[in-house]
Order: sequence, then C-alpha cells, then structure tokens
Amino acid sequence: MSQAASAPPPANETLIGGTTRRPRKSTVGVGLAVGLAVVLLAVGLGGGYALGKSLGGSSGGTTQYTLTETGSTLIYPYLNLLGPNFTKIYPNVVISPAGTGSGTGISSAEQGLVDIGGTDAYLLPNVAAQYNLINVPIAISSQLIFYNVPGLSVPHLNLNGTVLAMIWSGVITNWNDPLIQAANPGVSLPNLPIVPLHRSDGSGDTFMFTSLCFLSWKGWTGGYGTTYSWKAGQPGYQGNAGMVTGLTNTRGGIAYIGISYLSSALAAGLQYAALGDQAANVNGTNPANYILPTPTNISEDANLALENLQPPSVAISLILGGVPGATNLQLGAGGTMPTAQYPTPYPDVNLEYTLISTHPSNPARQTWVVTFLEWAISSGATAPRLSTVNFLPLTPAVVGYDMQALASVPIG
Amino acid sequence: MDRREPIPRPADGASTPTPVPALPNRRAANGEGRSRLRGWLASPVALLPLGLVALVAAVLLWESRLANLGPSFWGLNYFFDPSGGAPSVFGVSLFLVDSAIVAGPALALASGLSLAIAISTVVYLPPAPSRLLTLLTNLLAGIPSVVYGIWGYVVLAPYFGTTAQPTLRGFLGWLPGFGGPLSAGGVGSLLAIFILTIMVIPITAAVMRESLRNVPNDLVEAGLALGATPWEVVRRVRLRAARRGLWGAVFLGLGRAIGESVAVAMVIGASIQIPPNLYTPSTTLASFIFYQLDSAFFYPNLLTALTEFALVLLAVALVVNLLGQRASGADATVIVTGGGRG
Amino acid sequence: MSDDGGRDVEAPPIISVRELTVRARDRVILERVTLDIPDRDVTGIIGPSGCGKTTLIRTMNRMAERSGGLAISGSVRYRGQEIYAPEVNPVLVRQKIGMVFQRPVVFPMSIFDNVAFGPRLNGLDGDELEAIVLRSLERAGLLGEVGSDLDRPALELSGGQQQRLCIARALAVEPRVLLLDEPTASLDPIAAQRVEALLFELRREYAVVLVTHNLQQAARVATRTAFLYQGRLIEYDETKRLFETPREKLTENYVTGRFG
Repeated sequence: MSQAASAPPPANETLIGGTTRRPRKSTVGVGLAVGLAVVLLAVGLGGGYALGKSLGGSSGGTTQYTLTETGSTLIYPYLNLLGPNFTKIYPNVVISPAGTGSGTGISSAEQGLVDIGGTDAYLLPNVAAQYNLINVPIAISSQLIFYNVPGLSVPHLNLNGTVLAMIWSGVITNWNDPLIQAANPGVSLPNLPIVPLHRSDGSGDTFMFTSLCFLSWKGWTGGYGTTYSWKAGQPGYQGNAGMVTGLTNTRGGIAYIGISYLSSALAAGLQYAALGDQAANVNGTNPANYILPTPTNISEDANLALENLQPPSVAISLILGGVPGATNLQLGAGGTMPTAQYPTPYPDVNLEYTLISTHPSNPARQTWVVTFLEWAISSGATAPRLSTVNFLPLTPAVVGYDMQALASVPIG
Repeated sequence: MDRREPIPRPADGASTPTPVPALPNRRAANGEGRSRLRGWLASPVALLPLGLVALVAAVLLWESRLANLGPSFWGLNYFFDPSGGAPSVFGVSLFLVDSAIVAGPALALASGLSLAIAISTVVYLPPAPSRLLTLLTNLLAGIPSVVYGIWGYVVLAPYFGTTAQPTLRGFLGWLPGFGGPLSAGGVGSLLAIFILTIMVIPITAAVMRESLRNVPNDLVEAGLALGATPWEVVRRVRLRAARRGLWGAVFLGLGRAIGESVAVAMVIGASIQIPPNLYTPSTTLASFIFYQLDSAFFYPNLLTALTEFALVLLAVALVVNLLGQRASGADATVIVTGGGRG
Repeated sequence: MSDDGGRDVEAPPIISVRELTVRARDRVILERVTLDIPDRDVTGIIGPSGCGKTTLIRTMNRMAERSGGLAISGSVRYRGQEIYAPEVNPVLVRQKIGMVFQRPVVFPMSIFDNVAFGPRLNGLDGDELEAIVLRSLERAGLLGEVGSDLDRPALELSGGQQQRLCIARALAVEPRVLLLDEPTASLDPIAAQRVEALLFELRREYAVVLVTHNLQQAARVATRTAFLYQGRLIEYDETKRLFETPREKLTENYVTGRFG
C-alpha cells in the first residue's frame, strides 16, 4: 500500500490535544463525587444501630402473666429494675415496661391497652374517675436545674423560681444579671448570654418546671403543662438525654433535667443549682434560703407537703411545699416555706404515678397488677433500687393512701 | 421504572407514526379478554392505596372535626396555653413556612449531590468504585432516622455550634439568612438541613442513577459519534433523555424531606418561630406533630389541632406525590433501545 | 455498481488499518486485519453475523473501546496519523470520522436541534448554525420532506426519515469519513433504497464505509468490498471482482449464498 499518507496532515486535521471546550466540568464532576464518597464513607461508618431488647419469658405450672406498662421515660428504668426482682418472687409474672411518654401512658391506660400506665403528671381526679382509673404514686422524684457556665468559683449557683421564670421569659438574658448576682454574693459571674433549653417532647418535667415558673413569678404567661409555648428561638431537645447532650454543647445554657439523669449530667461536667425556698423570695440574698437537692431535702419537701394536704390527695404535679389547707397545685405558691420540723425543703419535687383500672376486665390478672404495685411501694422499694434512678421512697402518708386505694380495686 | 419497553417503529414514508399493525382477530380478542380479567383482578389492588389514604383522611377528619378551622388556622401565629389560661391560636402556615425553609435547601443540596453521584456512578467511575459509591449511598437509606437524629445532636451539633455556623456566617454573612445570631448549642435549621440532605440523598441518588442508567446506550453512542466529550454527552443527551426520571427523583426527595419527623425533631431545636436566619432553631410541620403528640394526649384541643395539622401534611404529601408522578410520568415515550451489537 | 472503477487509485487512503487484532476476554473478535479505506468512495464490509464487521468500523473512530474488556492492538491511521497514539483525543477522531448506527437514533428533541447538536458543541450559533443545519438536511435529502417546520420533534419522523436525519446530523459535524453500521437493516425496502441512493451520492465528498449483511446492497453501492469471516479479512477487492470472481473459496461460498 502507498505510504503517501505519512506526509504530515493539514494543521486543521490534528487529532492531538485537548477538547478545548469546557474541559473542566468533567473533572469537577469526578472530584465532587470522589470527595462526596469520602464524606459518605465517614457517615456510613459513623452510623450505629440501636439494639433491640428481648423479652424474657418463664414457665411453670401456674398461669403465666405478662403485665404491660407504657408511659413516662422516668419511670421506665425503675420498673425495668423492679420487674425481674418481682419475677424472682413470683416466677409466673413478668413485667414488661415501655418508655414512651407520660401522655402515651395516660392515653393507653384510658383505652385499656396496658395494665399499667406510667406518668410524671397526675391524671386529673375527675378524668381518672371517668375512665375508671386511679393514680397510684410509686416513688418521689425531683428536678434539677443544670447550667453550663465554665469557670465559676462555686460548685452550685443559687437560683430561685422568680429568676428561673424571668430567664425562660427572656427578661434575664445574661449570667451577670444583677438579680442572679444578688442571689450569689461574692461569686464572679461571667458576661455570657443565657441560653435556656426546653424539652421539645411532651414531658412531665416540663409540667413541673412550668408550674414552678407559673407559681413563682406573676409575669409568667402561657400557663403550665407538659407542653408550653416557649419564647421564640429557645432551643428544644428530645428527652432528658437530649437535654443533657444539648446543655453540654451549649456554653451559657441552662436546663431543667429530671434527677434520674443526675449521674450522666455530672459525668458531662454540668453543674446544678441550689433552689430558693419561699423565704428566698423574701430575702433572695441569704444563702441559707437556697437548698440543694439532697435526698434529705427532697424528702423534707415531700413530707412538708404531703403531711399537710387537706383533704388528703396525691394528685400533685409539683410539690413546692406545704401550706396547710391547700389541696392542689396552688399550694405553696412562690416557694416552699420551711417549718421547724422540715427546715430545708428542696422546692422542685414530684410524685411518679402509675394508673390502673378499678373496673378490670380480667380480675385474676388484676390481682397480679395490684400485688406488683403493693410490693413496689413496700418491700420492693429498696434503697439501692431507688438510688439507682435517684428516686426516693414514698412518705408513710402516701404509702397509706396507696394501700387503701389498691385495696379498693376488685380482684379475683 | 420500566423504560425499556420497545416501541414499534412506524413504517417509512408516512410523516406521522402509524399505529401498531392490528393483530389477528382471534388473538386480539383473547388478549383483550385476558387483559380485562387482569384489570378486574388488579383494580381492588390498585384501589387499596387510594382506599387507605381515604381512610386515613376520614379518620383524621373525624378526630379533628375541623374544630379549629377558622381564619387563624391558616395564619402564621401559634400559641397554646395548656392550663387554659389564654385562648389558643393554631396557625398551620407557620409550620408550612418552616418546613419549606428546611426542606427547600435540603432538597436543593441533595438533588445536586445526588446528580453528581448518579453521573459519577453511571458515567465516570470504573465499575468497582462505582459499585462502592452505590453501596454507600444505599447504606445511608438503611440507617434508621432516629440514629441520624442522635448522631446529629451528639456528634454534629457541637461542631455546628463552634465551627460550622461561625464559618458559614464569616463567609456568607452578608447574604440574607446567613447573618445574625447563631445557635449556641448547634441545633437549628442548618443542622436539620444538613441531616435531611444526607437522608434524602440515597432516595434521589438511586432514582437518578436508574434514570441515567436507563438512557439507551444508542443515544449515548450517537452523541459520542458526533464528537461530543463524555461530559457533553451527559449534559446534552443523558440529562435530557432522563429528564423526567430526574424530576421524579426530586419530588420523591421532597416527599421525604417534608415528611421526615423524628430526625428533624431531634436536631432542629424545636422552637416555634419563623427562623430569622439559617442557624436558629425552628420547627417543621412533621416534626412538630411528632414531638407534640404525647402532650396531645393530655390536652384534647391540642389533639384536634394536631390532627388538623396531620391532615394538612397529608394533603401536602399527596400533592407532592402527584406532582412527582406527573413529572416522571411518560418517560417510556422517549426512546427505544436495541440489545447488544456485533 | 462499479461504474467508478476507473477512479484515481493512486490517491492515498484516508484510513489504513494494519494488523488490527481485537480480543474480548474469552475470544478473538478481529485477527490481524489489514485494509485501506479510500477517500471519496464507498467501501463495503460484508460477512455473516458475528464476523466482527461492526467491531471493525467501531475501531476506526475509537468507539470500540467503549465496550469494556476489549484489548485492541495493531494500528489504525487516519490520513497517516495513528489514532490509537496515547496523545490522540478520541473526541477529535470522532469529529473527523462520523458514525451512523443500525437503528435510527434520534435525540428526543426537535429536528433542528438534532442536526445542530454537533455544530453547537463546536460553538456555532445564529445564522452560521442555521446555514449548516439546512445544508446538512439538504445533503441528506431531507429538507424537501420536512419542509419549513424544523421545530417538530424528531421522533415524529418516520423510521427512514429518522435514519436520514441521523446522516444529516453526522454530516453537520463536517467529517471526512462516514461509518455506517447496517444503516438500512431496520428500514422497509423503499426507505432503505433512499438511504442507499443517498450514500451513493455522498461518496463524491466523503469516504463512506458501509457495513451490511445485504450482499445486493454492497454490490449496488460499494466500489470495493471487504469480506470478513470469523474475525479475519478473507478477501478485499473491487466489489465486482469479489462477487464475480472471488479468489477464495470461502468468499465464493458466502456470496453465492451457501452460508450466511
């Protein structure tokens, strides 16, 4: 064949060289994708998986019962602790609790979907009667005010209900506010904006905390409840665990957290406040009027209130203290007034409730529900079990009330 | 997603396509009979989803009784006093605006990245890295949303609070929505957008990948044979031919972005407001319904309001879905493809 | 159709294939194929299914490498330049050596946009673009048929028109060589005839390489014809001679229809 073609081709015929039009974009595409692959890989490796929980079962000659509970996430770990111990004594009964939320606990109990409903906030007595339910308190819990303010010279700041209500209302916005300074003489407070955290989910803790604010400061608007219309821009977190994490991430933050999460909050390096009693509202500068949430102080508050309730009731969302004659939330408005008998009542205390039916469809089954609760408020409520979740035993007055109420439930 | 069904070619000469030549009578009649039978069998199955949606809507309607459906329901204000001290206002538009503020950017980011992923896997990457990238994106789809939420507020939130937000404000602070106060703890709209973006990507990327992959090889080769670079073929041939599928992917992603509740509830900061900028906490309709549900069991009027919100969310989801179906509808008309070549 | 037999045979070939071997993972598709494609003429490539004729033309504009797993060795030169040299940009090769496929592959866009696809890549627009689109449609014999409405979707055209649109689209890039892979296989006889006539016309300006399994088509259109069998080039000669007095027994058996 002729090799004449080996002569150099015309200049416009060259096949060599780049395609001059937009050569960049293909490399951009590849680069973007490869970079993203790396990001995705990191994400993929970072993701974990929650482990499922398996329910245990047992066998025996007698009828087997699995008693179901749903509701408050505060009660859940406590029941989880009690259940297996109860099964040790009564091998034919298994307690199956679920932490879903107090509202769900109430709703499920109302509809008869569970044997026991768990809630941090009592069910209104008239509503309870309508659904043939009774409130049965099983433990005393309390709430702590944690904050993330680095470099303080004291282990616990002094805060009172008025100051807290003003903080969440956006009236007090900086840690060096004169009102906070007045309650903490000699403490060097930083010039740091306050970021008040709240629970985004429905929560008994929100009920307690908004009740505290509502009762402590006249300027508080919007009432109290398991949900609240918070001031715009304040961050909300899911659950107490979310609050602990959120507060840890938020310099200058302050949050209300159930005492069950004390150890995890402390482990995260957070500090909690001493809260002012009623006397603190009168004389907020006296350190003696600020009380720490020790077991003794929490018990004192509960005793102060529950021994003085007239008529006797356990339908209490927040135990601020005991003013004789008061029968509901309004008692002790503004803080706890100490007495000679109970000089240091910590003013942010509540009861943890279970709801059970007074008209059970299966009385034989209900026998075990009642047996379990009777055990749970007496011999089952050992100090180690309670202290694991930082709960306190019920006061004798409440135990007496419970026993009476449980005795009224028809069983087979 | 079957776009490979061959379409009969019309005969030459006619300037408009001629219909498929009629089959012999017997077969035609038979086939018709059979397809009618199949139609009868299929219709209850086809109606099932419709029935379910109708049932859900009916239950929601019944539960809510549209008790709050006054003018303020469509407003931008929300106020609820659980203890009944002050009249409540349930404005759903506030939440719709917030949903749009979060879902819009997330969808835009996710669509862009998904397109890059899809183009890379289908066109550029060699088979092994391409499969790896596909595997990784699919893996993202398998992670439960609650895990995204926990990862968001445990791992990402501190980083967003201390680094991501200030950096973004430093560069783009002059743009509306990028300046102003930061969210100290890191939770807020920006984090929700970020999490949602990652959650939407596997869906949009998968659909986009399939759409691009289903572009007939003939078209691609025709483009290359005309002297187009691979990128030009992507831009002018593949994207064009896969247009409907790509839009379908975007709408599918929008459905996910608007409907996601758990993960968003955990990282958005749950503040009932139209956020003044990208950083501050806000809420979306879906996440609000999710995190208020437990409280709604305490407060009957909150429950009716949430049920009405759920109806609105259902309506939005249906509209998005229908738009998506429309957008991705008739890809089959685009092209025919042959099998292999010699 | 060998009335062009007396053309200038001394003109240099536009494509020279030397010792071209293409291997797939498990088999040899082309084995040591050597042939020259003359400029401004129609070259036919015939052979039974699977003989490698499609692969052969796909190596000529570097489309073959798109099918993964092929090992290509040997040499393919376009006007003396080795197109498989590492510094060669395949995109530029394909601009010089256009290709039309078995099925008419029109883009899902208007007639105008289809033809304008290539020129637009090269930055043409406005009057210049319109001129080249009209010229290409004219050359493909389509302008009269589609008339003034170039904004119609190309998919509305008939199959034969679509194939001629593909040819027009390839011409609009202004290549020197046009590779056609059984371009009439999916068309009815009348449409095929039109395309055939068009190819015969095009040989005045382009080197046309026509892969076909239709022996009559090769006999009608191609000046020279190559016969491939099982990946090997059995015979390559003037079409008339190949059909009438083949040198190889295999060729004779094939062109006389003893196998196919």
